[in-house]
Amino acid sequence: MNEATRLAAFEETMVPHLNAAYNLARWLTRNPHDAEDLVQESYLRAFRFFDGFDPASRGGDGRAWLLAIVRNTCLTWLGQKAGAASVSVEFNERVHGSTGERDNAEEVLVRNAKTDALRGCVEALPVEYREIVVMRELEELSYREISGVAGVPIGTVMSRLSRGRARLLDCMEAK
Amino acid sequence: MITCRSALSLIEPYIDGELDAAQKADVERHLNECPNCELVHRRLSGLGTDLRTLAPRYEASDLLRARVLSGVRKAAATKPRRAFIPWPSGAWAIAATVLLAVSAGWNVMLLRSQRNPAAEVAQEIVSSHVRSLIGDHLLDVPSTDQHNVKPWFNGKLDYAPDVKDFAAAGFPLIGGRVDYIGHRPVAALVYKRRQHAINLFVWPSGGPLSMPEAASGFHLVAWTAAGMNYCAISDLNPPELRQFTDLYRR
Repeated sequence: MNEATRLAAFEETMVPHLNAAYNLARWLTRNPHDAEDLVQESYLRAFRFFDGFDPASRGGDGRAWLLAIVRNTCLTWLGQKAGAASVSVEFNERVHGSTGERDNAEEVLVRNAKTDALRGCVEALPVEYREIVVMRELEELSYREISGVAGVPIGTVMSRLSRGRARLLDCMEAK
Repeated sequence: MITCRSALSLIEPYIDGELDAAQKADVERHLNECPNCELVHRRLSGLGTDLRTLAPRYEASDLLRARVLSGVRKAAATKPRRAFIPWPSGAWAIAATVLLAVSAGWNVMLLRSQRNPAAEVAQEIVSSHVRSLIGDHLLDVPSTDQHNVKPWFNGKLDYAPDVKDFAAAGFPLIGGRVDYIGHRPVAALVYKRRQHAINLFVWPSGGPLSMPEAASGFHLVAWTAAGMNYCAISDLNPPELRQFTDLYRR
């Protein structure tokens, strides 16, 4: 495949899933700025590894393939961040303080109290539950697709989803 | 009959649509008869509904869309994948520069030769839209007054685009610029819908216009009227973009 054909095929199969990519990155990082940077980086990686994408084996849908890359990019970044000392403080400020215009724009969407509570509870989930809850409930991926993206067996997807949901219910009741 | 124990383990796959017909029927029968399991089912399915309807499904901004597209295109243009040959570093650097220049030119040639004219125009419109979102090339004439924007095009184009404002309907005009598409200068009128930019390109028609409805993740609406071609492009959802073009065509 030459570069021009490759680029056209990439734009056709991957760019339509930009919202899904951003949504996952946004929930994993819990802030818009890092989510944007990581989505950008994920797309560059996806383009580099695009030859490894086999449309035939995935029903022609690039979403799960792309989300796997977004997920890995975000988790790597989260891992690096966890190595730095001041993580939790900075994180809390970025999540709970309103910094900058975009945060405010997003706040408009989520003013409702129950929405706020839900968002807080999802963000409080450990990342291994959070990613699966987001993929299932917001992206509506099947167990099989989630298993592929997260690289864990379907049984693990089911048990993490179940524990994540139980925590969410507890958290919502506590609010 | 299934026990509560197995019913409870099947409730979530049931909600998630992961059961086959027989298992589904088993769970439904059990839920009808067992108030305890039905309560669990109701709480979990209520949580799912809340998440889908209330938790934000964050959307990428059009700036991010533009960044992603231009990043990938830059990578495609400057990083041809070739086998690495271990030459002395100086020779390698010179060869890399030459290769880069040649391959960039080659890619441009390929891009041109492989497209049919309509697809090429569509691609140019996407590129122009993307360019307009990055940096500060959205507007040459920033004005919300249609009576400023229209005369501004005089002398820059050999035709006069119809400039209308739809601020009242939530699509304010924010300005215009001249861009170069299909080997000629064209008028670009720029509108906003919330955070989304809409570029409306206007140029004299050279025949029927056929345009894809989507390209590179953007939506396009094109039409021809009174000897002019029109093409609106945005990352706005198709119904709202259609609402905009309906207003313009009225």
